[in-house]
Amino acid sequence: MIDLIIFWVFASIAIIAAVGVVTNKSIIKAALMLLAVFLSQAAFFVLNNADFLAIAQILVYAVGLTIVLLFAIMFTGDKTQLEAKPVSRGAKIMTTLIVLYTAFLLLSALAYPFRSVVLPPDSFQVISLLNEGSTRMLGQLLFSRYGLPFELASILLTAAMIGAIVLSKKSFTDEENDSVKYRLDLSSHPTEEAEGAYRTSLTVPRPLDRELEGSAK
Amino acid sequence: MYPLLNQMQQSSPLAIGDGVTLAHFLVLATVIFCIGLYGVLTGRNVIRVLICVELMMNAVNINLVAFNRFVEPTKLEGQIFAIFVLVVSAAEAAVGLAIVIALYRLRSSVNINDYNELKG
Repeated sequence: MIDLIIFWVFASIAIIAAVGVVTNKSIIKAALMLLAVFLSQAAFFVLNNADFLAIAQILVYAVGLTIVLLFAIMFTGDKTQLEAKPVSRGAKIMTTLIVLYTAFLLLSALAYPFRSVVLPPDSFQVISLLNEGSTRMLGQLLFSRYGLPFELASILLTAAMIGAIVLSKKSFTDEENDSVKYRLDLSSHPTEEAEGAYRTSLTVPRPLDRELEGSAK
Repeated sequence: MYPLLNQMQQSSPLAIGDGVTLAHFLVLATVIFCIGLYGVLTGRNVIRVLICVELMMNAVNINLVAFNRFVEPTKLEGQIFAIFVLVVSAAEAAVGLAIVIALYRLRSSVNINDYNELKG
């Protein structure tokens, strides 16, 4: 009984927040709604005896991914979203039809007779069948039968990390963003304005400058 | 060894058990997946599209874990799959957001309609 209550509470939170993700005007609020969806899904994982996944969900999605998303939103600015032209009415209707058809296809799986195990009503929090959490069994599986996919996943993550760095790095061939060129351009150094506490390494006369001055004298 | 296996039965998810059943999770995952699909198709902001893709991946994860519990509770294959979905979606988000930032630098916009270079 209590599992039903927990399910419905978190299901309504998840669905309302998911609708908010799609419909909210502000993209930053949409990202925060997504956080609510992620957290309620951790609850569904707990209901399904997946304790390790619930924690991983909170760590990876609710903390990591949301922060990265918020960073990306702040890098790109919020104002461009508000100016965006909304989709036309016909496109919305067509999309709704596509989505309803997809929902029909997915729900038709309910007609299939799955070989199901009915757990006793009071066992929803009996974590796995060994009463000790699923983490140990997951770890053993990951390092035995799923060892190769595990290693491939690490290669994928490395490739994604390198790819993300390369893609988001400023290009040195870009004229405006050429920081090397900026540093070599001595005329752009604010040598005169910056005084006192505002002096930086760029505003202090360098040994080379002193040498040049000395040779001029 | 596993007493629950004795209660195994062949039936539709709609017909079995009281309390939370497999059908609950399947319908919930479908609803969230379809909301995400609608967002992907109608979103004009690239970041919102990425967010909605994450929503869809999470719906799939619910399905995997629910099937794991209700169909094969003595093994953890479903949870292993969910972990790999987690890994792939983390990689996808990192690369996707990097592409968004690179595109923003190029076009000063995150609106999908501004990325029409390939349209000819």
